[in-house]
Amino acid sequence: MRVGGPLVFDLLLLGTGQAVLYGIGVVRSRGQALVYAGLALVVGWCALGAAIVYALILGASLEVWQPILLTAALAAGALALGRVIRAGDDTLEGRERGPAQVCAVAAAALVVGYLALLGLHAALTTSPTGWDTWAFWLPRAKAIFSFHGLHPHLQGGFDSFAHPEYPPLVPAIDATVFRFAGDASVLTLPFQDWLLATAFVAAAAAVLRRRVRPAVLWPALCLLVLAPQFGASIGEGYADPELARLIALAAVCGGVWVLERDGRLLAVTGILLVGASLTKREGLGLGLLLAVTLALAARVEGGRGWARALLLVPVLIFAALPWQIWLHVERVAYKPDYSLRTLFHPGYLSGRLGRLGIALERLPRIALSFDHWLLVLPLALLLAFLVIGTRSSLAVLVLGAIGAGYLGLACVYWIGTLPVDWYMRTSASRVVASLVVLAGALTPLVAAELLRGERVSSARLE
Amino acid sequence: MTEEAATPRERAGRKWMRAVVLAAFAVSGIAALTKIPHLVRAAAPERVSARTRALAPATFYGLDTRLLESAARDIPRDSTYAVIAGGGVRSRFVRIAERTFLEYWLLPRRRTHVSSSDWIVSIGGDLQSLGLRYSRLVRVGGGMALAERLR
Repeated sequence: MRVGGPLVFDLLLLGTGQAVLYGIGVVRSRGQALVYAGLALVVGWCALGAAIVYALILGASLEVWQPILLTAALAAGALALGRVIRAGDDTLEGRERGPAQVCAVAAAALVVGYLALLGLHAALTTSPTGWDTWAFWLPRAKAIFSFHGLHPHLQGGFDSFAHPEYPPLVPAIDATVFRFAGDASVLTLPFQDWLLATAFVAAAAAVLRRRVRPAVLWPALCLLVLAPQFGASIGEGYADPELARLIALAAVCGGVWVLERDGRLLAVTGILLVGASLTKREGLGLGLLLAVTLALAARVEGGRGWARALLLVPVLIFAALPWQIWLHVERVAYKPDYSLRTLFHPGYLSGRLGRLGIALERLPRIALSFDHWLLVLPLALLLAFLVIGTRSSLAVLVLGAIGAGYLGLACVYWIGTLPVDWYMRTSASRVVASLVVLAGALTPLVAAELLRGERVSSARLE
Repeated sequence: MTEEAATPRERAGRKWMRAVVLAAFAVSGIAALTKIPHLVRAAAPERVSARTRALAPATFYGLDTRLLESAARDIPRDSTYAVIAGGGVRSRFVRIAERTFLEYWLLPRRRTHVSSSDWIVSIGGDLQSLGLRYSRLVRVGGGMALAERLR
C-alpha cells in the first residue's frame, strides 16, 4: 500500500480549500490558515471534487496532471477573487479560566485522543466492508481508474454496477486517490475517510469558536464524536457519513450566518452543499431543505439579507444539473429506488400509507438509539425547545432542519419501490446520520445562546 | 436583554434555564463516558495483513475466498469474463454475494455476456450446459470453477 501519493492529493485538497477560503475572505493570515485547516480540507474536497466530476462528465481521463491543473485553475481564480473581496472581522469567544478551562481542555483532549485512536484503526485495521461499498461505490471508483474516465456503455465499466444514477463525487475522489497511489489500493481509503471526519470536527470547532466559549464547544463536540456510530462509520466506504458531515458543517456555517449575516459563511455553506448534492441523491434534497430553513431562520432572526439563503436553491440545482444531463444524453439505463414524480400521484401514495407509517415510526427509533448515537438527538431537541423563547431563529433552524429532513427521508421510504422492511433494514441507520450529526453539530451554538445572557451579565458583575 | 434590565422573575427564569442546560449536558456526558470502554475496544488498532484486509468484505459475509483469489490469479487483467450460477452452490445469498463481490474484485477485468467473454466463472453453475469449448478448467472447490474458453 502506497501512502505518499494519496497524501500529495490531500495536500492538493488542502491547497484548493485554503485558496477558496482566501478568495472569499475567510483566511487572510497564517494563523487563520492554521485555524481553518480542517474547513479548508473539507471545502477543497467539495470544490476540487466538483471540478473533477465536471471534468469527467466532459470526458476527462483523470490522469494525475488533470487534478493538479484543476487545482491550479481553482487556486488562480480564488486568488483573483481574493483581491476583490475584503476580509471580514474574525470575532472570537474569550479564553476560559478555572473549572471551565479544565472542562474545555479535558473535553478537547478526549476528542483529540479518540480521533487519534480512530486514525490508527483506520490506517492499520479497517476494511471497507459495507455491502453497497463493494456492490457499487468502490467498483465505480475502480472503473473510473481502470478505464480512464466514465466511458458509458463499456461492458463491465462505470455504469455496469448498481445505481449508475447516483452522483459520482465519492467514486471520482476515490479514483483520484487510486491514481495518485498508482494502483486501485482500496486500503488507503479508510484513512482518507478518517482525515475528512477529523477535518469536519476541526472545521466545526473553528467556525463555532466565533460564538461558542470553549467550555461549551468542546464538551458538546465530544458528545458527538463519542457517539458509537460516528466512529463506526469511518472507513466503511459508504457515502452517507460524508454526506452527513457536509450537511452538518453547512448547517453550522449557515447557523452562524443567521446570527451574524457574515456573507463569507453563506458562501462556505453553498460550497459545502454543492459537495453534498454531488455526493448522494439525497444530498440535493437535504441541501435544498437546509437552504430554505436557513432563510426562514434568518427571517425570524430579523435584519436584512435573509433571502440571500434562497440563492443557494438555484446554485444547488445548477450544480447538480450537469450529472443529470450526462445521464440523459448518454442514455444511461437505471432503475431508481424511488421517483420524486410519484409524490404527485395521490392514488400511488394512498395505496402505500403503510410504508409511510413504518418509516415515520422507525426513523426516530434509530436516530434516538442510545447504542448508535448516545443522547445526541434528545439533547439537541431539548435545547432547541428551550431556545424558542430566547433565540427563536436557532429553534427554527434546528427543529426545521431536523423536522424537514425527517419528513423528507420518510417520504423516500414512502415512495420507494423496494420492500420497505428490507429497504429500511439496509439503509435507515445510515441515512438518519444526516439528521443526528446536524443536530449534534448545532448543539454547541444553541447551548451557547442559552447560556450567553447569564455569562455576559456575570462578567459585568465582576 | 441584559441582566440589569431583567426583572427578578426573568433572572430566576434564566438561572433555571442555565441549570437545565448544564444538567442536560451532565447527563449526556455521563452517558457518553459509560460507552468509552466499548469505543476503545472497537477502535483498538490491530495490524492486519493487507491480504486479510482486502478480503475482509468477503469473509465478513462468510464467503469462500478461494474463488476470488483463484480468479484474480488465473484470469489476465485485460481479459473479459462472464459469471454463471446454479444449484451447485446451495445458498442463494452466497451465489449473489460471490457474484457481486467478484465484479468488484476482478476489475479491471470486465464482466461481459457469456457469448463474448474470454473466461467463464461458475458459482455452482453447469459449465457444460453452455455448449462452449474450454482450453483450461480450474476447479476451485465448493462447486465453484473457472474455465478459459477455447477461441
